[in-house]
Amino acid sequence: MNARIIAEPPELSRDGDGQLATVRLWWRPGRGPERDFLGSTTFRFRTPVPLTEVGPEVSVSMALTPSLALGVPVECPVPVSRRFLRSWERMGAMMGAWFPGMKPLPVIAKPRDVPLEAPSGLEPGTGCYFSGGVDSWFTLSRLRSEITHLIYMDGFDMDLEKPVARRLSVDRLRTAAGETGLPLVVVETDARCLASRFFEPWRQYVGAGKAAVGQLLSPWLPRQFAASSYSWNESRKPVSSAHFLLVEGASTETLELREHGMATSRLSKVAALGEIPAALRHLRVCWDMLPDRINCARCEKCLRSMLELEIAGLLPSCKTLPHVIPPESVRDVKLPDHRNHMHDAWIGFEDWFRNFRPGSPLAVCLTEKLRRSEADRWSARLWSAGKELTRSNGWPALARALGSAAIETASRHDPAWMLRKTRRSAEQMKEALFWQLAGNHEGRLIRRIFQCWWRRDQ
Amino acid sequence: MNAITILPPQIRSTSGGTEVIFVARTPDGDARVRVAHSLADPPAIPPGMLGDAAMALFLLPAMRLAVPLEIQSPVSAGLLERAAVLQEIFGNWYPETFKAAVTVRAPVAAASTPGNARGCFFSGGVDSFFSVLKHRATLDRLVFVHGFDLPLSKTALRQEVASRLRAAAETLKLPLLEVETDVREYSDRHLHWGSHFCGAAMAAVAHLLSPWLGEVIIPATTTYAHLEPFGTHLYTDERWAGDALGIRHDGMEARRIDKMRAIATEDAARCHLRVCWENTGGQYNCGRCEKCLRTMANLRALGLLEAFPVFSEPLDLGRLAAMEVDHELIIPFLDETREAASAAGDEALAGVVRRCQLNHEVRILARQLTPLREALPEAPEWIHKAAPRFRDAILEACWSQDPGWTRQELSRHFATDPDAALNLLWKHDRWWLIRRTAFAWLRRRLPRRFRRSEATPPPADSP
Repeated sequence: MNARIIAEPPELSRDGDGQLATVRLWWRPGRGPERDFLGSTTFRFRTPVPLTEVGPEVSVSMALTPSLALGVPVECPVPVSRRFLRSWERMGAMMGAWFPGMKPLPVIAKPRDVPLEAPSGLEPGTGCYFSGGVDSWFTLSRLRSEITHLIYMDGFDMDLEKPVARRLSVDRLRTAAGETGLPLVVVETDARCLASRFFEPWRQYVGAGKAAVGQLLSPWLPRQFAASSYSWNESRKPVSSAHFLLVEGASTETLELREHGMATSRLSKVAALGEIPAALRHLRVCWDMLPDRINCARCEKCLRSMLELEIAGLLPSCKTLPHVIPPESVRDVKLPDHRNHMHDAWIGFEDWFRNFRPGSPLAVCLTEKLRRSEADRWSARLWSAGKELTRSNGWPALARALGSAAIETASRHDPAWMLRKTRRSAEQMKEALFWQLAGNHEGRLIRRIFQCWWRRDQ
Repeated sequence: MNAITILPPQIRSTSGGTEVIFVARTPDGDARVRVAHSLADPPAIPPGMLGDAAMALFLLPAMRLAVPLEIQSPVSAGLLERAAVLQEIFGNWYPETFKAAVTVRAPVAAASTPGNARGCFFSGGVDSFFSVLKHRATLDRLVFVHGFDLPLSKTALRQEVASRLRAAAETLKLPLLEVETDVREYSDRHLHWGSHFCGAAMAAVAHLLSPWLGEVIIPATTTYAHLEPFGTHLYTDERWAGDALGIRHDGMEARRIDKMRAIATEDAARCHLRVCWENTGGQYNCGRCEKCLRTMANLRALGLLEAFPVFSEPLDLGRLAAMEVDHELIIPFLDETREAASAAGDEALAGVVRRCQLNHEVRILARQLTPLREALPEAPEWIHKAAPRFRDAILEACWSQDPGWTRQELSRHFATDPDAALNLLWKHDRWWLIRRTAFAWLRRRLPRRFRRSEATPPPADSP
């Protein structure tokens, strides 16, 4: 195959008092020089001293997911970090295994062993990705002595078409960062526009975006921490391209990117927020970007966070979420799929409320919610297994057991169903009923029929 | 004593080799672990070699016993740092087994750099052959360990296995290094070999080979799509590395069936493939155990079973269908086999594999049904409320499977109360009821000679 995605090194330019890094991707269909513009993305950021050099890894990171989606290798005309190229072999195979249809291909570039140089006068620091959520605050609290800057990627997990809400979100984060005493580095990007041209959902691209931002800032912040949303056990179910192996795979000779927090459960992290007053004043868990409040308090993420805070005894202290959890909101929320580790969190909530707040409206609501969810799950599982089971040798015995259970319940709750379902032998069933009623005494039955008729007219 | 203390290991030169003996003072008494191999005269001994091997051997047992670990030999700085992460990982995966992190105390070894030579663990299995063939050009040595999946007591079997693996290595033109260890005599008391310890044990052996090898490859058991906790794992194997030794967990990009397809072209693999751990009757590959059965199924699905004359018995489909799936990692292997068999038009094999999977599914569902049965009579309520279409589908399936039984079961539950029966018929089919009653009444009053046939009730056992 001769087609290539050409990832040229990013162009740096001034943008007001900051800088703009523009990544352009080109599509080269054959061996010749012709190429078509594939897409571009920009990163707006500001450093104390303007960067003079941005590694080509930024462009390669942005090109990798289109490469996987289109099944075309990426080519870079300048040398790329050897460490990153070696990581890509593994990262590509992982993406290919997790997201059907993605085909991992090598990056065609010469390896480079020399790290990027920071401009003189720029003091290297340690960055921590910060979104104002539980994981971010936890990581910040545990690594506070090492971190010098907070990093926020504006345009990643929020809708690009809500500029007002985005600006408010950034302002709120700056206020929160101010309370921690750390400066907030905002990297504004439209990477999501480029991503959405190739595939949905966003979760297949978010890792590449984080990698690109990390590599962009690496001459200034050579050490960076990303707060993990999953524990070690949960990370065995790849939920997005922000898996820790993919995030850490973005490391280069210049950049050391590490995930933090995988050993700590979500509930433990929430409980730790009690030690961070600023976190409870500025906690942001919601992705809905409402202009008038930080968290909507209606979506699954908000409700889950509220329940976690309630269990930790911190909900009354949280200034960004209501202090009362309406049971009807819990009743109406759509739970994550049972294969998602967040579903396990809801099971934990139900267990806790049933044990420690028995009989409370929330406990009752959660129990019913989980029961329905479990019923749906069991039903779906049996449905798919049932189709296969009917072809197996073990089917007759299992069918009888299940059929007995179904018929027994229906006989108590839904006898009309019984009559409908015996359609096939309705006449025989009715005949059996008739004999049960009448025997050889039709006169008695006639009297009872008249009684029924009489009651109907009353 | 409430700690595990690893004394400085004894290194002895034996005839044509080296023997390292670790002595550990543990809460259960002294433990002794021996590792011997046939290399001698090491070019240089990395400062952290013994401490790193001790860390790999005893960190998990210390966690299991929840006691601090003290190693009296120097340990690589990198491994000391990663020990905390390893504890996090195992503690998160197996919270019931590893209840808390333990303190590790050891002097820090002077920095060293790894050599250039590369080795690969080689058990003769599918994963081993795949990694060896993939890295053939850059490998310097294959490493086979007696005492890992092959008990030291089975001397005859060990001799056969060793001789066949030597032959395979000769065909591959790579020297085979045989290592012997009794580590499982200690580890099996506290840990599960497959789920917990096999990766750490391989790392320990690899550290003791670090004077000769700079990097060792551990062939992967699973793919990236299956990251379930296991003793040898992408997250953990590479973290056991030290300053003088790199460890690479290799081969996750290929499914087992793809690996088999890849190794089928190699004579050494076809003649000496070894997958069996149970070795029933001392056979090289018994052909009866779960591993042999699914390997043979894979090979048959690929049309390659005849090309691998390494199994003692032919593939028994009945045995395959009855095979118990005892680990969730086996499920993807069965999926791959079923897909390949269907693609190859081998519906007999695909059907058998499907049956095996369904039996597994039924066992899981039965386990889930047990608490439901205990909660009876709630369970039927739940069934009734939860899945009306499930109830419909079950009944339709029952009708098609066994109409006689279904009719009997329905009639058994069908309106046993006469009032309910009357209400039911009155509500849903009153004109039929009236016609039928009138007909029965009139018929009884007709003279016998005018009756065409006696109206008789249906037999008691069928409505």
